[in-house]
Amino acid sequence: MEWLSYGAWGAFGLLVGIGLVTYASPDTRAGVGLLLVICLALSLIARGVWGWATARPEKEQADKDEG
Amino acid sequence: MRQFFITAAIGVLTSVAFLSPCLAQSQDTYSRDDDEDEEEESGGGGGGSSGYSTGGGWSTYGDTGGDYIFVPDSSGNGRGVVISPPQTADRDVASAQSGAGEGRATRIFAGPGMFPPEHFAAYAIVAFKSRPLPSDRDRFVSICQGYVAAILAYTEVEVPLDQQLVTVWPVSHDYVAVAAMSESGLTGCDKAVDEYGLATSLAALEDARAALDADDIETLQDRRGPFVLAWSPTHQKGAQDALILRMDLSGVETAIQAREKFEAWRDEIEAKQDLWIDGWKEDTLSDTIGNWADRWGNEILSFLGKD
Repeated sequence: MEWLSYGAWGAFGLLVGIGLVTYASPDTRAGVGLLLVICLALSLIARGVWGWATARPEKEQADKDEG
Repeated sequence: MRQFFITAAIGVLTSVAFLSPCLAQSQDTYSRDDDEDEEEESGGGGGGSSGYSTGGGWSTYGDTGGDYIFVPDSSGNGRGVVISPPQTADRDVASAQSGAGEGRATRIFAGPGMFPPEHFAAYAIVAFKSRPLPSDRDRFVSICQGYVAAILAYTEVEVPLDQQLVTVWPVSHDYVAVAAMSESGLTGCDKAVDEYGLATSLAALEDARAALDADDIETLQDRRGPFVLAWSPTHQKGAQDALILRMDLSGVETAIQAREKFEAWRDEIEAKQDLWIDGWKEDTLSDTIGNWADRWGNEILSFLGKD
């Protein structure tokens, strides 16, 4: 489920990247690739940060409960 | 569902934050244009849409020397014909009048002996900060090709020289200029790049520094260029507080980008001949992002590929 979520976020990032490429119209393949990679990376980072931020309180709560 | 929208918002905000340097750079660069917009809306100018201030028009660039120009033979043998300057007592006035609405944007490769080309209504200069190295020669050639592709040579238009708004690519010797003009764009650019007129270019940049404020001087220093520079009125070249029409090509990497830039430059100077801009030629956010990606794409992806 975790990986599915990352995949969905990655797909979302790529869609944003395609939109950005359409908007900015780089002339080189490297330029297109760079924009897509940036959007993909950002979406995955955002997913990771979000997952870390939301999971941590639950874990702390679980730790408290165990304690 | 709610969580999805929140996470989507975070993703978008993160993307915006990452691209904010580009945004900030673009806004900083053109902030002076915005100021000029306000001035224009308050009554100045005659129809400009952005970043223009009134006061003078295109006129001759410089006030000394340059009493002739070479027009290359069609035979391409390196010889040229000398054209006399317009027979007028006050070329600046004549040029400003003729340049108001009838001028055509043209281009020329010009050597030191052809500077300044006073018989043109006005001129601008493509100013690099250095000669090309083997590692960046391709970029120089690409920019030259875009320049040639977008702007007509002064021999290709059927208007008098004193109605032409010429954009000059300086070269180191007059004979190089004649040879480059007589050849097709691509081969001419090889000569024009290899024999780039750095002395003329640096003099123009120095004059620009004298007229610009601290922020713009910093832009000139920090960016790699080239810059396209023109003065208003031209005899103020080198003077403090002169208005300078300028375009930054630092983000240009490919010939296509250069062509787009010079097309915009051509259209702008033809459309707004009686107006002057005191600020950077406008660039769009999409151009900024696209140019940035083209500039760094190869390096960053290569770096990632190595790991």
